[in-house]
Amino acid sequence: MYRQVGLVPERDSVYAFLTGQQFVLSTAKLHELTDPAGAAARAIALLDMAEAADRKIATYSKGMRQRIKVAAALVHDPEVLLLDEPFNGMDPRQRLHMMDLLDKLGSEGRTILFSSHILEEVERLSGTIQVVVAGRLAASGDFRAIRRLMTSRPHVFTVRSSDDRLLASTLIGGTLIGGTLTGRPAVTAVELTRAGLQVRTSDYGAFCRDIAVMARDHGIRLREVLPADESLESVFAYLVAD
Amino acid sequence: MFNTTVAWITLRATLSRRRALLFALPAAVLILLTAALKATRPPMLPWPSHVLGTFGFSVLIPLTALIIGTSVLGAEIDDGSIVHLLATPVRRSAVVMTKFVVATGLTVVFAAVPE
Repeated sequence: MYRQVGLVPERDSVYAFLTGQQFVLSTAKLHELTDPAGAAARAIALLDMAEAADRKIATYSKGMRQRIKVAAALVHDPEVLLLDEPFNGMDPRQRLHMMDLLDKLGSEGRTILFSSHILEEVERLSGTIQVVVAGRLAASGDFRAIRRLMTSRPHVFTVRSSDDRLLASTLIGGTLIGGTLTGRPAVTAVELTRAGLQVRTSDYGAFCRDIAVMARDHGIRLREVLPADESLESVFAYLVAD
Repeated sequence: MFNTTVAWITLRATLSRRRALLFALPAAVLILLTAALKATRPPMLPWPSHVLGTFGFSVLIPLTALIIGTSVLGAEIDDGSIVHLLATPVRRSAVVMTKFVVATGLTVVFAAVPE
């Protein structure tokens, strides 16, 4: 089984006394590859670590350690790559490089499973997302599917404009008359507060598009349209609360 | 049953830590003790066999073996780097056997040879 799986553990524990090259090479040898030196060189080049390969891992930055761990995990060309928090400690450039690499490996037909707390990363690299809450699988699927799941819980926007009252009646009116057929935002509730309007909608994207059109048609100036609850976070809160 | 790569990593791990100095400490104490006794005592008493037999064999070898034995595998488990080793197709029994051989070899070098 270990021949098909490459593992990148989250903990920063590597053999710090070895150089990057020695580490990857010894992993290649442990996998009993026919050409360990060649495989090690290929994996190191793939992760863009050739320059630092002769330095001891103890001198590496956190991002470099992550990369050398990925190089070691890829050395035997596994079909499945498991990564635990692979973007920890990486600078933005390294992060992009790693994302591109994972994308590439994925499109080559490998299965890549990684964990992350940063939802934007998950969304970008997406595929199938598994949401685990307290050790139990809470949601699973393509990220759009999870987003759709989210719509059972309305999105809350804070809107400030030149004429809050008119905007409120327009928003409500729009849903009553046209519904989704006319492309009007699916507004479920509007609340007039001193700070502006609190609008609840079940369709994030349609609301954002349509409120601008509506405001223009009615001569209302929009001063602020803010999502009051961060969408991906709210799905998490929703799932955790369940 | 014996994996040279595992042996090499273990050897590097054990000897590159500052702990390696600790292995030599009991042996150094023994040598110093012998030298000191030799300087103060007349040479006709049977002290060398006493020092070697009682102190050397009953204290020094077990102590050195203990320090080395715990460090060949323990340190790796403690800091989690053992995962890299276990995620390869090397058999666990081969890992243990190799570590055992390395530990025995190191004990011989650090304890038996000075005696």
